[in-house]
Amino acid sequence: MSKTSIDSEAVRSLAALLADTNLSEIEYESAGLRIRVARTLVAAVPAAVAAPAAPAAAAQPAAQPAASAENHPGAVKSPMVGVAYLSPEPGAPRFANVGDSVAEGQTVMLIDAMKTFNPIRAPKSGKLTQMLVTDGQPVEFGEPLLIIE
Amino acid sequence: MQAVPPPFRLLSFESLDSTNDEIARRAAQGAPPYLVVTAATQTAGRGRRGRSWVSSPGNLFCSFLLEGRARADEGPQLAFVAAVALQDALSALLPAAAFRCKWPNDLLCQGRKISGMLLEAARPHIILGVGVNVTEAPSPALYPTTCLRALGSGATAVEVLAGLCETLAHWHGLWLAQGFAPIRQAWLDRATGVGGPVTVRLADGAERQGRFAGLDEGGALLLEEAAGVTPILAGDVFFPN
Repeated sequence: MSKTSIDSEAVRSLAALLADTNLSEIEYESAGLRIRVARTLVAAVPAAVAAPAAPAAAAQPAAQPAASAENHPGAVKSPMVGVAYLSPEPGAPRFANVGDSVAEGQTVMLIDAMKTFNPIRAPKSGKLTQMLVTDGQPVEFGEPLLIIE
Repeated sequence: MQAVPPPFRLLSFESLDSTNDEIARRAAQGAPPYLVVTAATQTAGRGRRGRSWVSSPGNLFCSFLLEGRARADEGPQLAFVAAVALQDALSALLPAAAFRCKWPNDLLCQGRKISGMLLEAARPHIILGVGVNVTEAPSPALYPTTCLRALGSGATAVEVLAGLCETLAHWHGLWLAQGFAPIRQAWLDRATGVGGPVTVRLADGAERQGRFAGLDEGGALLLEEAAGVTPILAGDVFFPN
């Protein structure tokens, strides 16, 4: 398959999937070709959006804060893919806990990738109001890790 | 004191808490890259996740402050730069021995661990800590161990360090100039277990078994299971005997 030709069939099936799942965006990559299909969920179709969303929200109360954390001004995001560690070693006290006051430059967690440890430092002083990842959790580039207000 | 080749500058100590900690202190004070610190003994040698590194006199304990790249996610690539460099340095001392890289950056000889590394970001630089069993193989912990002397080399820790500086300058320079692709290939050429069965113990203690399908573009171990292929970014890797 040429990488430059438009695979309209793939786009069409992704668009159908988008509607079926009520997602706002799907990105699909295969064999070096990346297709992103996105739509804006408008208030005109609240019934379709709200109905399946309600039970999901009830089952996963953490999903909502994580979604809004993306744009939170106090969100500290991961600079790399890796695994998050909330304490310097297993069994040791955490670098910081929710409710703690943290100082600018203070290490608040580590991200490990290929045995390379990247300290995540507080970009500003403030109160740690939300921890968005758990110890040992894999994280993506740009994923919000915690919120400092 | 034997000099190390440029661009490295060597600081030697009789004893340190940990060579990585000493480099971190100096980096915090603005030390430029290519500083090398070594100690005859360490009182608090560290491995991954708080594991202690037994620091028997005669073995090599050293840390490098290396120039990194702008993006944090390129830092882990230096784990492979270092593994390839050490493989070359040890192979030069013992050409008949088959040193292999074990993901991501341990070195094995005949299935026994001879070295360990711990990298820590000190952006924009990276701290690379290297321990090599030169005259003594510590009691096995997670893996069986060996040392250069047991393999027939009379090299001293200082000689190993000098050789490592040569090869590290080469591979680090290549990484700066050409990026990760040639490093990744060089690592694969020196690796153990690629294509075969592997067990990975993850951060949460869970173990997963599958086939070691290679490295992804960033260096993650590709674990192939019945359900699909997963990139593994952190974990302990075991191969069946």
